[in-house]
Amino acid sequence: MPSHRLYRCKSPLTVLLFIILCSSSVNSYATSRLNAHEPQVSIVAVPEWIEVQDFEVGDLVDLVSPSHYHLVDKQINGIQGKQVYSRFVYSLTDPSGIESNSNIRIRFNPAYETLQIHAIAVNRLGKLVNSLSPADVEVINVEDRQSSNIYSGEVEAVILLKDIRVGDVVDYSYTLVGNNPVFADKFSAGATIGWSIPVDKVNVSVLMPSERAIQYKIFKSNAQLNVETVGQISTYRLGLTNTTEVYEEDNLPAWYNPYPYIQFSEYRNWQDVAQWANDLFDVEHIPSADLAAYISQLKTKPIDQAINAAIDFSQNQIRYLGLELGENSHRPNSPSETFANRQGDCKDKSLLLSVLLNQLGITANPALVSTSSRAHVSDYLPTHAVFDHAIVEIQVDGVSYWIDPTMTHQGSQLDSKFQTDYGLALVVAPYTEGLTSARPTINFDSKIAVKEFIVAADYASPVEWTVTTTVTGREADSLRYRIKSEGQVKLAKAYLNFYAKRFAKIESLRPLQIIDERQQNIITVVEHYLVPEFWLLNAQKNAEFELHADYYSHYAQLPKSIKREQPLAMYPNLSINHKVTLQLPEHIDFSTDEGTELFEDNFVNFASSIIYDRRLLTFQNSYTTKGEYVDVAQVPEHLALLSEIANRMNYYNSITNVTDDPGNIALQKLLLNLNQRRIAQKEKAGE
Amino acid sequence: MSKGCFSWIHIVVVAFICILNGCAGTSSQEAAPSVNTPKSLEVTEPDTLTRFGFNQGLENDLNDKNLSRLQSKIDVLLIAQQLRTLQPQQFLNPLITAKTAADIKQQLVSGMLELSNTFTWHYLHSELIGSDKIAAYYRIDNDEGYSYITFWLSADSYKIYDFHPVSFHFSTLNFVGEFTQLFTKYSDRQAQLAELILASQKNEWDTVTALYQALDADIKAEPVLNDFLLRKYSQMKNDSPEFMAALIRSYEQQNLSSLLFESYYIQQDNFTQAIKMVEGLPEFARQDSKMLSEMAILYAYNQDFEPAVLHGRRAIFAAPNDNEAYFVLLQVSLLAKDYDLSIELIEVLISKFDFIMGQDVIAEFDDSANFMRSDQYQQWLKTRSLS
Repeated sequence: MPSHRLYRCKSPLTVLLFIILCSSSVNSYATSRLNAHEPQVSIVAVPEWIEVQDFEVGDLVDLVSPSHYHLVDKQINGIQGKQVYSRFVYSLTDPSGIESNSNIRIRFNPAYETLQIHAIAVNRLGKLVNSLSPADVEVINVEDRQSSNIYSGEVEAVILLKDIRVGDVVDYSYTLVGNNPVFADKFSAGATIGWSIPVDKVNVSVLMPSERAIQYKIFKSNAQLNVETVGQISTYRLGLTNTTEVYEEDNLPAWYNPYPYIQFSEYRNWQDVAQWANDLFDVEHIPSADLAAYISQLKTKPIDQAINAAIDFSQNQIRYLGLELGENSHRPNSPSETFANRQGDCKDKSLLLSVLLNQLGITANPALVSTSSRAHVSDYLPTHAVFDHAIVEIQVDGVSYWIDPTMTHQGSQLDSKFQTDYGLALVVAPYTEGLTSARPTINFDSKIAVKEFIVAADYASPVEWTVTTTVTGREADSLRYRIKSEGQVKLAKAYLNFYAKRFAKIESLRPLQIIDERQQNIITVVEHYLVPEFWLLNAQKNAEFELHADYYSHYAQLPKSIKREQPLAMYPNLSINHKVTLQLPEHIDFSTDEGTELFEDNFVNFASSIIYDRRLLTFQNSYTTKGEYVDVAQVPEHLALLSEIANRMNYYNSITNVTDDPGNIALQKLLLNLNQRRIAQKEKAGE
Repeated sequence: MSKGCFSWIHIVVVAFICILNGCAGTSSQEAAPSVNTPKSLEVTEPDTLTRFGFNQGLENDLNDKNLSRLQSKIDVLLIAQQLRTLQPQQFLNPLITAKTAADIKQQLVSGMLELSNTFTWHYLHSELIGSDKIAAYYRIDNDEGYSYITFWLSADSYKIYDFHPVSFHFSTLNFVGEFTQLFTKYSDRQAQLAELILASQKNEWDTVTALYQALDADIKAEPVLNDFLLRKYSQMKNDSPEFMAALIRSYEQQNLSSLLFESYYIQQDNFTQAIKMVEGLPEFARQDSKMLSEMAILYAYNQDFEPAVLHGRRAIFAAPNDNEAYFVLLQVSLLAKDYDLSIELIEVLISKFDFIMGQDVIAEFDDSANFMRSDQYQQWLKTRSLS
């Protein structure tokens, strides 16, 4: 399934600097380059406009391990085009630091950027022991997202430092020159000013023509920005010393960035951004003959069927492929081109779907959203850079539907399609004045109902186990995709192996039954098993058993960071009902165990019940989320609640005197025979 | 609809409530219900009543024919509320609704007691439907066979408001609602309908058959009309094969089923159709051991032994302490000449249920002679005599 992170543009706040500082991963080498632009790399002196920063290197014993950053400097020049200068100075204080910091990687896009390397030096005991030569620089293709069918054309200049030793000081700097023309020279930039390691000195500066006003915003830091205007140039400076390390906790909401950073933007407001986007998407007015013919065909259908057909076409007939090279990182291809090639990325598909629906007389527009920031887009200064995805807002009978044309295998009707809650969107339309609520009014939630029915004929023989799982919403979309992509047999094996972790000798009795009610977007899967190890006969001749109603635990687990200072992510808009019923061989009154326990806070509702009916012992857990994340202040109480909930995943009990029946042996022999026949029948049928 | 028209329908509805509880499987007796004298008129339920507790009590009351307790378990206000929910236009008038609800309650009690005279009630289990309804599933049985009933209860008060013998298409309240609609829907042919209904009231089944066959196809395909005629017919003392055949044809054309037709198909050795009648039952009844055994034997008579044994296996899983499941599978195994299985079943019947499985007992089974001549049986006899 294509990734939702489709736009080439990333948040300005997750900048290259951070990637370089923290990344130790090995990039895959692309086998071919889609970008026609030859990478331009040169070794040149530090430009004159740079204010060279000094720094101090203390005694090795006083430095932090495994590497100690003395200086991180980022200077941006927006006076003529865009130039971004970066410099890093660090000591390697442990062999593990050498492992992770001896390869320098500088990423850039040759379609609109050139790389100027100024220096890469290694100092040992105050002497220069290694300096850069052109032969040391190798440029490789990087397509990190090609597995998601997204190609950016980006490359990396790689310098593998040699003869690096503990105590060495690495000092390198470079400038990326150029700006993607798709941004029409609108200035937007950012810089991280705090990391997972301390830094002795941080410098950020931006040079702009004084007549071009830019806004700035500092996040998670009390640092002050100094603005100085001399003549025709304004300089924005921010300097920090001895920044402390930031500890990133696990299970953070996607919108939450724990690292301090500063954002700069020339956009005055979101209307300016909308105008930029509207100009970009205004690529074609006259459809090709083929597209026109398809539109005519759609028009012959009743309107509701035509809408569904148009959505289905954009979702399932247009292959997802993001050739986001150069300007195409943000400028969509024309609908005719997307239609003819039967391929496109989120913006291509969104524009095509909008055009199809517009031709049917339906109000529909592409809408830019952020898959990570979602409703927190408005926390940032207005900028194009915060958006990474495009969907379509469709208005039918006064209701807004937020349809994602990159989703495949969705429900077949507009009214049943799952809609992701992106919180806020920038609708690409001439009339857009700001961000719009993109919170769907229907079909944004998902339901999972698991019913297990266990039939026991005695207290020793295998039990028959039927699992009926019914899913809706996003869960139905995902399961339908999995069924189509993996196939029913592979899915059945995966399910069987899941249960085999608990019951190693489990046998499947029938093929998976899959009922896909695509119009309502409901999928039901029925599994049938024979489970030999259900009963455990203990030393006291009691038959022990355990019921697990723990489907919830797939979606909510205690985080690693319990004592938190950061919010806790939740799986939003989800309800799970897991009901396990054991049909006993005889009536044994479990009424004393009956009851329901409720656990509730502002974020979840959880109910755990034991019900006894004639021969039927039912253990049921139901869980509903009420939010998207838990505020820091409420995390301790919420985690305490989750701990209590976690203790309700299993029900254990035992039945006494189960070996007293004189007919046990004959019955077990009969059941063994009948069960073997049942399995043989399945095998004979080739199931 | 005019007020006069509504009144006429109301009379018809009330007149036919008496057939709401027509019994599936056997002809009901007309003897007056035998009612236990209530020990106390004030019947209260414990505050902590559970679904199981309520149904255990109801099962006892049904088998004991405890009129006062049964009456206390049926809520006329809930009935009225359901009538208004099902057919808001038909039950606008509160007085008529209340009267109809009271009549239905009375008929429900009478119907339950009438069934109690002929059958034994077995509570199976219940389930919560949505958040406010409970469907409580019962089996009724006597020497002639089995049938199944669903009671509909309010989840918060455990009060009964509807009753559904599942051999019929509609529950009691749904039947009343649909039946009133029938006259509205076919207002241009009310006379035709009235004539048919009056003939059935008079048990003039030759006339009924002729009128039924002459009906327009759309009316004839009305589930509620067929349901009405089936209820009425099931209460007859005497058979009318012509009407039965006509009704069954109509059901077949609509791909509908009723357990009431099973015996008809068995008599015709049409086991495939008989199986379909069982398969048409609701899931709770299909999963009951008795119906799984029924399927086992039907498949066996149809010479389809693999599913027969599989259903027999499921019947044992469903009720491992009910010897009938083993006896039925034993019969299946004898028909299938699966004598190893027969021996194992006999062993269970002896050791688990203390039956004396002598040759006289085994000889009662169909196709048992071959079995008793078989090597397996002779070997088993030797082993038994040595042990």
